[in-house]
Amino acid sequence: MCEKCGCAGSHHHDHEHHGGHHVHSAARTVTVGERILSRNDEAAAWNRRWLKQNGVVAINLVSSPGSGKTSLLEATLERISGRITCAVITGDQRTDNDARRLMGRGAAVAAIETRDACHLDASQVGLLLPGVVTKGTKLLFIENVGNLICPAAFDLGERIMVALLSVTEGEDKPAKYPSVFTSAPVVVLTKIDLLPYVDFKLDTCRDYLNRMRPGVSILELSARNGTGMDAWIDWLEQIAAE
Amino acid sequence: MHELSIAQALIEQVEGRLAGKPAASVCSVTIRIGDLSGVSPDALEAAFQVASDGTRLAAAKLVIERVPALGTCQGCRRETSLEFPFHVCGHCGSTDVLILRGREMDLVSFDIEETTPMPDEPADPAGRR
Repeated sequence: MCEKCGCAGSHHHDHEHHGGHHVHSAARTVTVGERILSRNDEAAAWNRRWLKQNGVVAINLVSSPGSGKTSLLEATLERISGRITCAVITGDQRTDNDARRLMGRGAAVAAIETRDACHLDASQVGLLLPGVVTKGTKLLFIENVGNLICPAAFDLGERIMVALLSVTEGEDKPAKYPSVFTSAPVVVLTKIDLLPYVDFKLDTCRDYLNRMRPGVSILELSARNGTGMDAWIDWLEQIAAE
Repeated sequence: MHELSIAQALIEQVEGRLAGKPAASVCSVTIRIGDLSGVSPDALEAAFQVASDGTRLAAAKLVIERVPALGTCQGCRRETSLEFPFHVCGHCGSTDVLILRGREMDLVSFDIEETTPMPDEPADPAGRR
């Protein structure tokens, strides 16, 4: 019993008087032990279940802005749409320009404007899934916001993360921005038609990528002239059939 | 600056657990951030200050426990500390290392102060004053 006020509480508490009322204030610790992004993780798990139930393989495309995600998707949809039903969700801070570029190529397309956020999150994707994934869809491309740091922290419920790196960006990008390149099991080196005009050291880049993620699959291609596109399409058909 | 999203998620997470405790305010929040998590503790602290404004965490101190990266080498099978970004075994130099610790981004606990207005006539089972 409290000696000061005679209350029955056995906890430690302080006394203050507000307008003649006793006020007890007690400090205590609440133990949690939960991931900070647990709400995103739950949404991602929901997306993953939904995609699996509907037989859809989702690919989270991550890269810096301007590395050629949308160009790669344009070239991909042109080659694959007749055989595999695809859907695309694009993410940008502002505008639906990418989504408009990708329309009319046989795939359902939806855009997310993230406004202030530098990445997509799982709930944004989940809201669009029932609308953009039409009957028979096998592949869903999620074109993340162009950013090499933040998207790595947010699971979207995808089957696989694919990182893009264009040869105009420099071979040491993986070492400078490790979050994405340690997370992505597949890396696509884009714009290789520009190799003769830039000082990109292909071997050094491959070495960096392998050291950051042993066993990483590296594909090299040009969406513009088609070099390497066959291997990319083969890989997509393979994971769509899994 | 995904630290802002992380700070917002953290604040919502704590606020969610305070539902039904209208008189509680948060004094401190303890989180665990791994060296491989891709989170900048300084940026997270700054983001937390901004994002907690106007919430019950406004006066809360953010305590960040860092978790050094630790892995098991798949080559020599020994445990090794890891330096970002290359996960190289400190014993044999292999890059084939399974990460055990360092990716944490966890809410460990938080301290609250609950103020409970008491009745003017304190209850006493024996009826004494």
